[in-house]
Order: sequence, then structure tokens, then C-alpha cells
Amino acid sequence: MKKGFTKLLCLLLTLCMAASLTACGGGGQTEETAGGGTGAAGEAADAGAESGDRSKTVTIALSENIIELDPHNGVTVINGAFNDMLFNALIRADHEGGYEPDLATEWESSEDGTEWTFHLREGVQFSNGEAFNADDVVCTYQRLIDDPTLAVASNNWSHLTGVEKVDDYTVKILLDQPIGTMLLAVASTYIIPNEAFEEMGTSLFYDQYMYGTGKWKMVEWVDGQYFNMVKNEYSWEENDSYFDEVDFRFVLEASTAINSHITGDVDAYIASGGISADMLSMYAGTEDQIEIIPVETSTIDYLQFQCEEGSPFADPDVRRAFSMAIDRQTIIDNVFGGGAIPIGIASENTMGYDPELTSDYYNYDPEAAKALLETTSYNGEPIVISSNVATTNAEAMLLAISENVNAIGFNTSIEVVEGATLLEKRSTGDYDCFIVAAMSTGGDLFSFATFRIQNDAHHSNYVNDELNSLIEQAAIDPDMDMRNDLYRQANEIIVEECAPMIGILTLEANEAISYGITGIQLASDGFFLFKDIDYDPSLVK
Amino acid sequence: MFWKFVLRRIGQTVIVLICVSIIAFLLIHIAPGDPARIVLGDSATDEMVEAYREKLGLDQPLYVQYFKYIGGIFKGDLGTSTSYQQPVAKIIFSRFPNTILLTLATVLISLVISIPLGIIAGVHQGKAIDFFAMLFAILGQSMSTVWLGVLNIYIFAVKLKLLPTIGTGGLEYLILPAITLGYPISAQVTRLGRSGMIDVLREDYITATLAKGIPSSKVYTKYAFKNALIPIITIVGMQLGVFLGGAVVVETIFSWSGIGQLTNQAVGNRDYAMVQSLLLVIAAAMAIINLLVDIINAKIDPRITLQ
Amino acid sequence: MEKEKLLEIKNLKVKFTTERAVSYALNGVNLTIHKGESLGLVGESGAGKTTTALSVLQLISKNGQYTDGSILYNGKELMGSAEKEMLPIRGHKISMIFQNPLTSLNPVFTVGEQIGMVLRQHLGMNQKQALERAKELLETVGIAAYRVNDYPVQFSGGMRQRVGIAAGIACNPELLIADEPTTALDVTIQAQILELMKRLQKEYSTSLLMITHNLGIISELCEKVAVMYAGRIIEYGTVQEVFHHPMHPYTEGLLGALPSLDSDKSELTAIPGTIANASNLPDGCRFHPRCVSCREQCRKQQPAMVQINDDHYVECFAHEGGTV
Repeated sequence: MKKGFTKLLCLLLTLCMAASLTACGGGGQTEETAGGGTGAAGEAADAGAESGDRSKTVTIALSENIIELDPHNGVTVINGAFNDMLFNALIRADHEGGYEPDLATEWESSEDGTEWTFHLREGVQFSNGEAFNADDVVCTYQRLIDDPTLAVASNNWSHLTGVEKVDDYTVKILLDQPIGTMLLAVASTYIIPNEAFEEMGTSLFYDQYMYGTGKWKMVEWVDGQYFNMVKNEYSWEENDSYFDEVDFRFVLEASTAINSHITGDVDAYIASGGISADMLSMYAGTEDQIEIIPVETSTIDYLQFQCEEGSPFADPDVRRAFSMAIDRQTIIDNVFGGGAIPIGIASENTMGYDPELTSDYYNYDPEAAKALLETTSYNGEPIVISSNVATTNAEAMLLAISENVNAIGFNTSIEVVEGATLLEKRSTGDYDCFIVAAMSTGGDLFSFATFRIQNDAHHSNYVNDELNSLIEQAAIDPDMDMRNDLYRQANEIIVEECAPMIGILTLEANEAISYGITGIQLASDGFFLFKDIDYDPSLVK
Repeated sequence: MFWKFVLRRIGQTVIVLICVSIIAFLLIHIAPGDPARIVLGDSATDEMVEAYREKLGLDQPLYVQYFKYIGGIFKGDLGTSTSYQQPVAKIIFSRFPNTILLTLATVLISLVISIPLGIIAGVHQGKAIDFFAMLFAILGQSMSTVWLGVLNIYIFAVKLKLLPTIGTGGLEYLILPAITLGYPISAQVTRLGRSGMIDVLREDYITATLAKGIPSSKVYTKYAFKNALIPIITIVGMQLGVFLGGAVVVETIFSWSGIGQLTNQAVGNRDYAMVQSLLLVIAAAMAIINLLVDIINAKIDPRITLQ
Repeated sequence: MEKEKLLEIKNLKVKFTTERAVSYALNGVNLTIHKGESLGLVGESGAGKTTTALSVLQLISKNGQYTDGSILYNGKELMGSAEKEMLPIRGHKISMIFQNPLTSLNPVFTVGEQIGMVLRQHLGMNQKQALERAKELLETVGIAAYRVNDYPVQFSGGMRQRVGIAAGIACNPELLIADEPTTALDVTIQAQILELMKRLQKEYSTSLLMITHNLGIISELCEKVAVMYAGRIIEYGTVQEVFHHPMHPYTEGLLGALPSLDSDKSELTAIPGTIANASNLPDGCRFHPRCVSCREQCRKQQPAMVQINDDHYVECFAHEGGTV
């Protein structure tokens, strides 16, 4: 009995380990099980619709934690979503390139673009009852002048020199030179209440008072768990949402979030960068209850070269050959399940987009690539393609690219490192080439072009005066159309030179929202806006 | 005798904690990656990064930074988190109770099942109950935590709709993560209980006790049990310590806001003050547990303090 | 007048089965102890003495099996009894003192508890009463009463053995089985323990089964002696008879192997060969391979027990002449 006992146990042990290893990889459900999911979930939705008593609280699962509460220092997509609900800026960006009045009703700039006057909306109050006027604007902008390390300041306001109160409802913002991104910058600067801020300083944020003029007000944030908001009764914009309460839950594990969505514990699952393609299959069978919404974003995965003297990529033909050898479409189809090929760094939803622009270097042509590479002096020097763990599907993408280019004569290997490590490497130029993802808020290429190209924040050592001058002008020119054209021209150079980076793909993000939940805006720049969230029972199936 | 032992152990614990604080400090400072750069982002110029490093005190020699940090501890100041921009102590202690709760629940659930199971299996070695106990144990030790966690959610939350999928806090949220974490320990303790019991039952003193006419049921549950318990307590104590360090995988899967996930996040952000303090807090928790385990063992087994 | 029989072991056979081999430990043991009698059971290590003792209490280890025989205690059959039936006998009517004092006490319980447990189990005492009585018993065996809450590790080997004895006599047993109680102790302690046992024997008139390989102890303490070899009793009788007129070549050898201060032997006689291997017993008389008087018959047949006189029995073809 004992020997048989042991053998049986060994067999079971092996089976178990095998089972858990295989199950570990995916997380997809089978047909049979998904059916059960529909049944249960369908019931839940029906119950709500029938009784007409759909809960007044809407629950949304987010894929990332919020860490920084300060609206002037937290600039992640999640921060953006929350700030947009709790606060207003003088102008509101629609994240598709458009801007509209928010706390300012009108504005004008001086001839030289260094002085902007904003006329403020009257009759607005913060959620603590404090009245909104020019003092609050002054307090807000002065803060950014005093502390340029605040993210909003360093990202947008390096040319901000002063802010002046003209009268209670008129404010002047002063710059030391004109900037082309003025509207975007203003839209990114949320107005905080001056009396409260003078009284308690940053405790206003960190002790969770968060008085703002937005449609919603903060109730509570518990680190790693949830962030609750309720209607702001002081809001100047009428908040007639069906929902009284918006409950954001931080769910870092995709399979768990999807399971929560299916069971009805949450009403939507919004993931930064979208829900991963191989996880979407978990939603199979819930088509009546949940809508999967694909968003073509302008978030771009790009590959940047180290172009300094002596590196293999100093030679433009080497870069071009590299680019031509990459089968972008196959990567899009097989690794990501969706997306588009950007020519250069501009894409359909960004500035500088030219639908007519084509380039041989962005066509997959291994023959031509190989021929081109042979004309160069590249002689099999080892090249490492780097990326970081935060980049979706980094490893698969790098492997595919590596195989592509190795097939035509390159000698590449790959590494995927921690975010902080890659940051360190980029800050000293210690890389051969790397791939990361970049977002362009509102489709404005200012941030990307100025920091990553003109300022060469990541030390690619590629210097092109014509390119830099185009970018510099685009940063200053107040005319949107002019800026658009300048970026278009800049992009042409980038495409032709394949430097300092080449575009690989733009991401298609899939988000999941239960039918009936309306008002969630999934912007093409990758941001989410929940301000107008509402409920329409007629949409529930 | 006993109290001397306790005092000596406390002294050792203090020394261990000091060493941990030094090692933790060195480790995070050696790792490549600059917290200033992480906080300030891509738009930061090199000058801005330098200025920020100065603001954080990172330009000073390591030993100065270390003693400043240690000095702060005695005032209850564990530093300021560069990612949260809030006091580290506040963030850690908002999450730590969740980890403690999960740890206690896990240990409780696993012990309640596995100690009796192991003991019974040991007493009835070779019989059906032994087989099932060993099956239970092997399954537990070969399952991947991720798989078990996701499976639990799938079965109990999605299919059976008995429990919620996500959340931190009360009993209903606690059950699935505690079972997921606890099963592998249950497995270990069952095996230990069983082998411990088998070893004990072989001892002369058990035969001698039976020869005194004590019923075997009493011998197993009282006179052999105490002896078999000793290795179990040691292992459970160790596991307890490990879990107090936060069970990252389970916390992530179940959205249980504990310090495991916090540590992960902090390391990724090179949040020096947070990482150092977390490591110290975790080490302190483990050291205290070890101390308690040693004290309990010393109470159970008098040979420890008397020999 | 024949004393009343207290314990009668008839044809007891025990085998142990391990993965490697089957060991025939007891091959037909016949033994009788009368009321108030002290019997020494002597033999080399591995002869089966401890197994015999454990068989009486029905406590042989799990891989052992009783293949034949009966054990009558006061006429009642013990063989095959369920635990429930054996409980009132163990520790109460029949007590056992174990060989190794270092391993026969539970290290994590106090000596008071280990004595008290028998008192509570069999005499119905409560915690307090048992403790008090345990103190008295400790005094009886020569240990200070205040040590009742100490742990075995705090005692020397000799003192631990005394604790074992105290637990053994706690309920005033009719039969005390002492399994090599002094083997693990040095000579001076040995003497103390023996003194103690003699005193107790006189005071309580307990029957004693003294298991030992030390003939000196037997002559000190016992009236009768049984010699065991390869799982059988091969000689039995009063100590006087057997020690002065040993019949079996094995017994002769044992006695001859004894050093003696007042004899004029210049060398010890060793018994040739090694003790029979219980997994591989020789045919016929188990002792024949080592026997100087071995004959043809011995190789093939197992001799039966024959009576030499009232006080002397032996199993040996060399002494076939006696009455059976």
C-alpha cells in the first residue's frame, strides 16, 4: 500500500504542477464557462433595469493607483481624470485638440504673445463655499512660478514669469516669450482656492480636502483601494447625473478587474494603455452586458537611436536599414491585436499629420534593407535593444524586432529593464537604442518634440539644426495651423533621417464599459474623462 | 533562567534591526536609478534634477544621510515619500493594518485546518485519512499562488457569486486572499504535523505513557501533541514573518491594499525613504514574531532554557 | 504449597515485519510468575526480553504481530484484548519500568505530571490530590518533594529512573515489570536503585519480573530465573538451582563468562559464535551452532522443556533424562 501510495502522490503532484503552469500563462475562459458568466451578469443587469432602482453609485475599476494628490504635481492619466472632475482650469481641453472656456469666459493675448488677459466667470464657488475670483488664479499661477519643480510647471511653464490681478474677474498671465502651447498649458493648470491654500498649504491636498470648482467633490482616498467622489453641490456647471457617487477602485490585476466587471462588482474597467489583447477574451459571452470600445490613440511606441560618433547608428543608412527591416504590421497584428503604423512621430490624432506622407523606410522590405546595410560600414557590432517593463508587450515587441533586423545582418539582443533603470540609462545616453511609449496630450507634439528632440532629454546625440529650429518655432508660434505645418515639416525630416527616432506603432486601446453607463470620454490622446458620467437605462440590453 | 533568555533574545533582535537598517539603506541607494529624475520626469533639465537632489539631501555623503534617517526614526519621522509627497509613516501605517489582518487571518485559517489534519494523518499513518492529508499537502505545495488566486476568484466570486471580487477590509473580502495565501502553509504544516507526530510516536516515552494505561486518544491529543507542536510553531512563525512583509502576488490579485504591493511600487519609483522604512518595519515585525516564537517554544519545551 | 499463578505466558510467538526482512522475535515463550514472586528474565540483547514484556501489556510496535500464544493474567486472557480492556490493567495492575531513563520520560512535561497522570487515570484523583501524592512518591524513591514541578532534563539519569519507578509503583501494581532498569546507569547508581527495589518489594509485596542480562542483579533480587535465547525460554528454575547447577550449555557459558573476585579462574570463557539472528534462525535447537555439546539431533529437532526437579527445567537434548 505504501509504495503505491507514494507513486500515486507523485503522479498527482506532477499533474498539478503542469496544470498550474499552463493555466498561469493566459487567464482566458472557455466557451462553457463564459456562458455561465453571461447568465449571471445578465440577471444582475436585468434586475437593475426592471426595478428602475439602478444604484446611484457607479463603480469604475482603474488599472493603476493614484499616488500624488496635488493637482499641480500629479500628471498621470489617472491624475488627469480625477483633476478634471474635481477642478476646473481657465480653459478646458477636449483632448482632441480643441479648447473651450472653463473658468475663463474670454481671453486675448498681446501682439507679441507675452501677455495674456483672461476674463473670469462670475458666480462660481469652490466646494467649501469659497468664492472664485482673480485671487485664486493668482495664487495658482504664483505657486507654479515659485516652485518650478512642480510637474505642471516644469512640463508647461518654463517661460512663465508673472501673474497679475487686474480686478476681481480679470487676470493677466505674463511670459518671457510667446509659447505655442499656451492654451494647453492653461488647460493643464487647475485652479485652487487661495484662502484654503494660504491657510493650510499642501495639506489641502494631502489631507484630502481638495476644494475645487469641479462637478464632483472628493469624499475619500484610501491608498491602493479606492477614490470616492460625490456631486459637488456648489458646482457652477449643473451636475444632473443620475449618479450621486462615483467610486473608483484601483485593481492592478487585469484578470481580477475583468472578473469584477463580469460579476457586476464594477460597471467599467478602464486601463491605462488599454486592456491587453489576450485578456479581452475573458469578456467572451458578455456582449449583451458589456461593450468593448476600441480607441485609436496617439500613444506611440517609438524606437530612439544612440547617434553619437562611433556608434553604429551614427550612420543614417544604418538607421534606415534598421527601420526598413522591421515588419510593423505583423507586430501590430500578432503582438498587439490592433493599432496603426505612424509615419515618423505624427499620427492621425496628432499635430503634424500628413495623410499623404509615405516613406520607403517605413515599408517592410528586408531585401532593400539588407542591401542598404551592406553599403554601410556596420560590421556586426553587437547592439542591445532596450525597453522597460511598463511598456506594454515590451518583450514580445523587442523579440520580433530583433528577429527582423537580425535576419538582414544586424547583431542585436534585447533587454527589458525596470523603469527607473531605463530612465537612468537614458539620462546618460547609455544605450544603443530603446523603445518606449509616449503620449501627446491633446495631440500636441510640443512636449514630445521639445523635450525629446530639441532638448534631447534622452541624450541621443543627434543634432539637426534645421529640425531643432522648426521645433523651436512650433513651440512659440501662437497660430495653430502654423504650428501644425511646422510639425509636419519637422516630421518629414525625422522620417527621412530616421533620427533621432523612428515610429513603430500607435496603440489601439480597448476599454470595457457596461451598457447604460454614458458620458465616459475615451480620448484619442489616451486620456479618460469621467466628468459627465451618467446613466441611460434605455441603453441597457 | 527564562527571563535571562528573553532579555538576551531582545538584545539580539535590536542588533539585527540595526544591521537591517544599514543593509536596506545601502541596497536602495546602490540600485541604479535616480529618484529625482523619476519624480521630475522627462521635462526636467539636468540642472533641475541636481537642484532637486540637493533638496532631497541626496548630495550628501551616505553616512550623513543614514544618520539623519536614523535620527528621524526616533522622532517618529520616517522621511517623506518622493512619490506621494506625504510622510512615509502615514502611508505605511495606513496600509500596514491590512497586511496584519490578512496575515492573521491566513495563519488562523491554515492552522485550524492543518494542525489537526497533520496530527491525525501521523497517528493513522498509511490509512485513508493519511492519503488524503498528503494529497491535500502536495496539492498545496505544488500550486502556483497566482493560479490559485485567480481560480478562487473565478469559482467563488464569478461562478458561485458568494464573495466579492475586489476590496480590502472585512470578513467577506478577507476569505479568498487568506485561503489563497494560507493553502501552501497549510500544506507545509500538515506535513510537518504528520512527520512530527510520526517521529514522536516512535519515542520510548510514548510507549511508556501508553504502558501507564493512558488512553491512546489522550496520548495523541495531549502527550504527543505538545512535542509535535514545536517544529510547527517555528515554521509558522517564520511564515508569519514572511507574510508581514506583505504578500505581493496575493495583494495584487485581490486588490488587497497591503505593504507588499506598496514595497513593489516604492522600489520601482526609487522612493528611498519609503523603501528604507518599509524594510525596517518589515524587519521589525519579523524580529518581533521570531522573538515571540522563541518565547513560546521556550515555554513549551523546557529543554531550551534549562540546558 | 504452590503459590497462586499471577501471570502465565503460553507458547507466545511474535514476529516483526519490516520492508527488508521478517524477524521471529519470540518462538514459543513459556513463562509463569506466581503471586509475590520475583522472577529474573535473563538473556543477551536481542533475545526477546523486552518484546515479551511489551507483549504482556499488548504494546508491541505496529510492525509486530502475535502469531500464536496466550497470556493469562489472573486467569483472564490478555492476548487480543482491545485497548479499552487493557487500560485498567496498564499502569495499575501491571506496571512497567523502561530501560533508558533518558528517553522514557516525556521532556516537555514535569515529573509531577508524569507521575500524576497514572494517579488521575486509575485512582480518580484530581489535579491537587495527584500532585500531593506525586510528591510523596518522589520522597519514597529518594527525590526531594519540591522537585515535583521540575522537568526531566533537570535530573540525572539515575534520578530519572527513580521517577520512572515512582510512576511504576504509584498505583500499587500486582506485577511490576522492570526492563533493564539499571543498564543505562553507572555501578554506584545501580546499587542504589537495586536497594530501592528491594525495599519496595518487601514493603508492597509486589510480584516482580526483572529483565536483565546482569546475573548479579538476579542473584541479589530474584527467587526464580528464566534464561532466554532466540525467543524461547531454554532454562528455568530457582536462582539457587540454576546458578549452581546450570544445565543448558548456554547457561553454563553465561555463568562461566562472569568475572568473579573470589574464583581462581584466570580467564573468562566466552561463548563461541554470535547470538542467533532472529530473521535467520538455525534449524533444530536454536543454540546448536554455538553449542559445545551439539549432536546430530540438535541440528534437526527443537528440544522440549523437560523437568529436572521441582525447581529446575531445561530444554536440551543433553538432559533428556528428566521427567516432562
